Amino acid sequence: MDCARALELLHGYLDNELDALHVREMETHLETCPSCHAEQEQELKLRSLLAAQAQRYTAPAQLRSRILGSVRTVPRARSLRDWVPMGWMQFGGAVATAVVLSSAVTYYSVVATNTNRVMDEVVASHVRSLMTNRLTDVASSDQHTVKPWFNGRIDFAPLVKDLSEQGFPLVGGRLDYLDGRPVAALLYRHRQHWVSVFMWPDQAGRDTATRRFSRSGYNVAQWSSDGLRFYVVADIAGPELGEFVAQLRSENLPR
Amino acid sequence: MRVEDQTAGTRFEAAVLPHLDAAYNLARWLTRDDHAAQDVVQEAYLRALKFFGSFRGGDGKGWILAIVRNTCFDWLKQRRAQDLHEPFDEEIHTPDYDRAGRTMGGAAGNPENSAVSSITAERLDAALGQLPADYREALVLRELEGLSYKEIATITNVPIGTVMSRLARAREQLRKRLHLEREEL
Repeated sequence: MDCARALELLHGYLDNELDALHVREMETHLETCPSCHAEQEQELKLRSLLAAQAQRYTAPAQLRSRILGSVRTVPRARSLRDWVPMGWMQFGGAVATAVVLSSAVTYYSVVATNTNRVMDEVVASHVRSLMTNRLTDVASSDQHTVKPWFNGRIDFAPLVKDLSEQGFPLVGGRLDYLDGRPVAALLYRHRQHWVSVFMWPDQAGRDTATRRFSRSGYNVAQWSSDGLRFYVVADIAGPELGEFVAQLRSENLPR
Repeated sequence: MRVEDQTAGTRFEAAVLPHLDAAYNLARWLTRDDHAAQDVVQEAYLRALKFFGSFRGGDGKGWILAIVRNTCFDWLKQRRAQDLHEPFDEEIHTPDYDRAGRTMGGAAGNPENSAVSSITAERLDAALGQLPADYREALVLRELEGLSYKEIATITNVPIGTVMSRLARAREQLRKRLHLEREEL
């Protein structure tokens, strides 16, 4: 074996990827060639350096819970129902039972069940849009492009605000179908994160305070104002979501 | 039907969740950013979930790492495209190696620094970060995850010979940056 060939095979040799025949040839060559032997020494130094000093990062706990959260929510989406985890099957059964019994129970518990169901739908829609890359039907950071796009597609005027100066640039809008009706969905970006805002008419026309929930690792904010019902879903932290909601609800910006 | 559903859900979690650290480590090294790595890994797991039907059992680690690295390269491509259109966000995007690169430049004219014992984790980290992504990927999978050439070839979708040559070139570049040069004889 000559030096050129030995240097070519050195990595395979040190990585234990050579067959027995080549290993023997390498050993013979390294014993008799000081130059290749020195090269081997340097390679071994690099390997021990990597073994001792190179960082192997471990997944942060929050990532683990985020993934568990989305893994257990998403299967409720239609295309994935082939393998709903057990916990959700039981939960689904409970919801089905609740629906069957709903004619017999009070108005308030029906409303509570409905709110939960809508919230699950909203979170699932947010996750699904990111998963399938169907983020927007109209991609634009200009509120004057996004808002008119909804004309004739929904029977209400959505609230579309430019919040780029507040650190939440508008990405676009899309149509979605939630709570048994077409709704407007707007997508904002915050650093590497996505914020979905869903809105549709609130029949009761209430003005409510913002309520915050956590669902499957996502933060959700919900309120009603100006005849619309709002749901905001994002995987940003609570305070950042609070800031976003405050900006969206603020009266100082033009609608 | 119901029993199958349960089995499949449990099967997914059993097949890929144990490899979350490996997934994050690879994404962290490829994106060089904690937030991005977390987002990429989450996205990869959602993709994995979606395509779990095509997983035929066997090597769950290789399967999920292949999805993670593809998601990483999508992200890198997207970010490059984005950087052309958007003002550069210094806080997020300052690559680790910019800072370290200057440190390394300072060390270049100083051969005494090349002794292995003086190479800190920080310098090694910076030098690894400067490698081209596909070299870095091969090195991380080999040195930090301890995968075989064959496993790396499957994950990165290249022939085994390419894995070997990428590793050789990655190590050569790394040694140059760390001044562990081949001895002149």
